[in-house]
Amino acid sequence: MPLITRLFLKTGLIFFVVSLLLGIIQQIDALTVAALVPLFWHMLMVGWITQVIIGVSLWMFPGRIKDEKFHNQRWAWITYFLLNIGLILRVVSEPMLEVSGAWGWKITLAISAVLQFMALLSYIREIWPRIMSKKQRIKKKRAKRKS
Amino acid sequence: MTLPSRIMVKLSLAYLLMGASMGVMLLLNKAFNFYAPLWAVLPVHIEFMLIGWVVQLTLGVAYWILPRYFGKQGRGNPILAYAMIGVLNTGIIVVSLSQLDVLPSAGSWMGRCLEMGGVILFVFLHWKRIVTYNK
Repeated sequence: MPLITRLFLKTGLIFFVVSLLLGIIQQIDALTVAALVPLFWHMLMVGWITQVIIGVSLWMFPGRIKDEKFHNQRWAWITYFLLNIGLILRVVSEPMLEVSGAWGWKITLAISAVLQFMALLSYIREIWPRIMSKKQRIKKKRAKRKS
Repeated sequence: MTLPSRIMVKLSLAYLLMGASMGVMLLLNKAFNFYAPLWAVLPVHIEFMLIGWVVQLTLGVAYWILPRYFGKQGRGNPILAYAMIGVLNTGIIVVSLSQLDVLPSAGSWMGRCLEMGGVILFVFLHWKRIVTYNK
């Protein structure tokens, strides 16, 4: 399993545990935090499910280059950093925005939205050309060898 | 990767892109509150991300990766696989249009039935493929 996949899976597991903790906090009236419901769902669906899907697909989809140089996996690394920085910024700024409404938190929330979107664009850029049949894969390999 | 799986995975990525576009607009709207009616796309964002992206990708990958039948049967009747894709995606679109009030509210119910039809076809196609060949 490549390093980038292990990172996606382990970070996903951390988000999974934290999102379930938020789920518990949601049930305790004395611990109410602002914007808990969207945070719970996004940590679960983006932090855990989407991150696991991305990690496993990078590993299992056809056409993976086994040499783990940064250059070969740059879109995957960009996805990892943008997605996680974006999600963490959201986790911090969304409740703070509801509490204070300061411009700084508005801008942080906007940055988090853009980073997560760019992460998904980067993932699509990496995985789209790898959705291919066995025939296409063999053809691509032959063409690469010739060049 | 087989053709029905490639179609499903590419469709799921298209839903991811559309759902995430709505998500980024909703979050920007939450920050700057520039257009309140934008919140009407929230149920479509959820539909696209949950059924269009996560469920469709899972079904597409399962169709590719689960054990095949012995002999020429491969992954079963491909026409049923294409029907599964068509029915599931029609369901997603009908539910979404209904949530946007483009279709009457009964569309939501019909769309869910179509989605269930797609999943029933998936179960029918895969039930006997969930096996072990090691005895």
